[in-house]
Amino acid sequence: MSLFYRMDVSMFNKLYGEGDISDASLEKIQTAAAKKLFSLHWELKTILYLGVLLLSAGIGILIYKNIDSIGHQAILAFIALVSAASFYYCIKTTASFSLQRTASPNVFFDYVLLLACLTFVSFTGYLQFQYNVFGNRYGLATFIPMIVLFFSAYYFDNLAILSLAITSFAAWAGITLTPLKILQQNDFDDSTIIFTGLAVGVVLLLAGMLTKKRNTKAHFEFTYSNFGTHILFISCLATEFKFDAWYLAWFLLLAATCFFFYLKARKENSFYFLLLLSLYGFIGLSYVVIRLLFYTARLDIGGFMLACIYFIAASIGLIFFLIKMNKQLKQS
Amino acid sequence: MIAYNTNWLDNLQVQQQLEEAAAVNCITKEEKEVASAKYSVGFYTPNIFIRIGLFILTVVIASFSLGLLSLTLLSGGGEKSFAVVLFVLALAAYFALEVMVERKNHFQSGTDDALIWITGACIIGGINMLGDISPAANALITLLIAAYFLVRFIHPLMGILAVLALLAFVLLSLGTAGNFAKAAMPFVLFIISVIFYFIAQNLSKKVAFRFYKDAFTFMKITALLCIYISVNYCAVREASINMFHLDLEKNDELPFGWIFWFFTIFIPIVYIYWGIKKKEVVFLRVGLLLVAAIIFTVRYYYAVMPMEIAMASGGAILITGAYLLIQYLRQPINGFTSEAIADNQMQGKLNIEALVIAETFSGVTPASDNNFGGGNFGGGGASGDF
Repeated sequence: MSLFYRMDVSMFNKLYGEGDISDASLEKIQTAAAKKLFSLHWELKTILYLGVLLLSAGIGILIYKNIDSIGHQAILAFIALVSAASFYYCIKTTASFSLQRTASPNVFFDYVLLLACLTFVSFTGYLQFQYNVFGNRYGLATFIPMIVLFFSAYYFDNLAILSLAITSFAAWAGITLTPLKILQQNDFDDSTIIFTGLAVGVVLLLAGMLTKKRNTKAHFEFTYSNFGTHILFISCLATEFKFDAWYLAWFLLLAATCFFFYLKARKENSFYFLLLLSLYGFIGLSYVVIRLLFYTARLDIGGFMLACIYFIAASIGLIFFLIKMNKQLKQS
Repeated sequence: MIAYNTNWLDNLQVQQQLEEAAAVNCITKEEKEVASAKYSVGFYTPNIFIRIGLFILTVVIASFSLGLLSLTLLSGGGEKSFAVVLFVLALAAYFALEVMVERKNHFQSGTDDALIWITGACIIGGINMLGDISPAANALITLLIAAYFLVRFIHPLMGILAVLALLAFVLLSLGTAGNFAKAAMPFVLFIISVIFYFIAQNLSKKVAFRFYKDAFTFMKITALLCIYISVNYCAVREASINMFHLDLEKNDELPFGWIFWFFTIFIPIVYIYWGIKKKEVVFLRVGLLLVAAIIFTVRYYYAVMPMEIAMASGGAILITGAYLLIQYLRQPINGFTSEAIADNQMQGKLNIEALVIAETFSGVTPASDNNFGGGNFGGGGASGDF
């Protein structure tokens, strides 16, 4: 019953009557309830998000369709102008740079920055596509926008831009890191992709750790770790499936990764990472069990029964584990 | 009637109020501790991520139990014996649900959520295995099951399911009646949804129904959306063609189409007006959502300009509008503000926002492809605090 919270003054009156809260506290509650503002913050954010989405997609299609009649220079100039104007606005309005968290000046600012970055990315993309500015050094064509994105994320303190920077870092390395496309667009049957995934995951996790340790924009840590965790776990699972002659060895890698995240979850009291390690670990373990049952022991119908029993027993075990961990994390 | 300990449910509301008040420093920590101890809650309600984990694992257990039961009990049996297996599982799941709630004090723990869905799904699946069940009868069965779980386990999502099942039942059973019933269908659904809204609204204020507050809010949102959909021009026209085989060509107007056009455009405006006037967040958000529905409905039948120009100019209008509103609300006006109100889940919300943006806007594909795509549509993300 926590979804639609509203301060209930009558309840506090009752608590006051029972002597649980002081006069001063009751007064604070009454004033807070009386002057409570109705915030349109998230509504405005959604509208701005849709606005930037529609505008950038609309302009993209417009250019694509009219490329013959408008001319490339005109298009490039237009994109550059939008990008420059947006960056100019951001630089003028932003608070002075700090390595700590700085609040965004207003809701509008965040989305102008988004527009600035998106247009900059299209600008470099367009340059490469049309004029082949970077020649065959495709890496450079993704490297430059990546640097600009990282710089903007840190300079303007923006999590969304940081997420874009991280996905473009992965793209530069050769994999897709966009949440819903991570499985569709990466060919995890390709060993280069798998090892790139492992490397990107480790690098992102290290970046997260450093961010926290050095206390440089420490609130960026979750974003680095989140992307790093998923790609690392998925790549670990992929090694197990792909190099199946050595699947037990690769399972050890997965187990070690799980253990690492277990320590991390304990240290940071993170229920989220606990859930991730449980589920990814469960998938990896199940693969090992299925292989043992059907490839190594070559069982048939009895194997199905054993598999069912394994899944039921393992799930029950995992439930007890999660319940126990929930208790421990809550206490600390 | 309610499976959970109602004293604890009451205390839970007190605790929640204390938690929020302490978060904004209205009460001191000591006051919170003392009052929390007095209004103690014995429920087992884990963190949201543990809840998700327990939900998934319970579903896994049920699925493989179904597999195991089928392997042991069935040997070449037909659909009838599979129905028996499903009923056995439903019974077991329901028994487990009651035990978990009664003995282990589970409340919104993921386990009880999952067992509710599993029981319902197995009953409906089992009944359908027994023989041919008409869609209307299925809707009725769903309604009964959802209503039962709503009443006994105060499950908010069951409230949504119940509203939808009732409307589906009316639609499917009246749909086979005469032409008059078909013509009156939008208005029948409209009126039922309105009545539903007012029932939920009135009951949510009654002390006796205080535990159903969240469920009523969900039901109200569903009812408001159904009020609109039942008389939306596009929904009525396409449903008439597809379900009732109304013979319309591409450019033919629906009979009495102007009534539906009127509702299509009028209802969202009323919602937004009411939301602003009464500061009702539900009306405001549903209204804003339905503005998008107006645009899609109009564009579907009257494409006055090419898609990309509509998108670009629409985007520019949205950005400008938001900018003007932010400027206008620089100082709070009539209690409205554009600033965020501090809450302890802000960081989680910002993380989700960042993920949604990364999902939709990261169009740069891996370097080896040398292929720069535009933005992609779609979005997603988890919820809760981290």
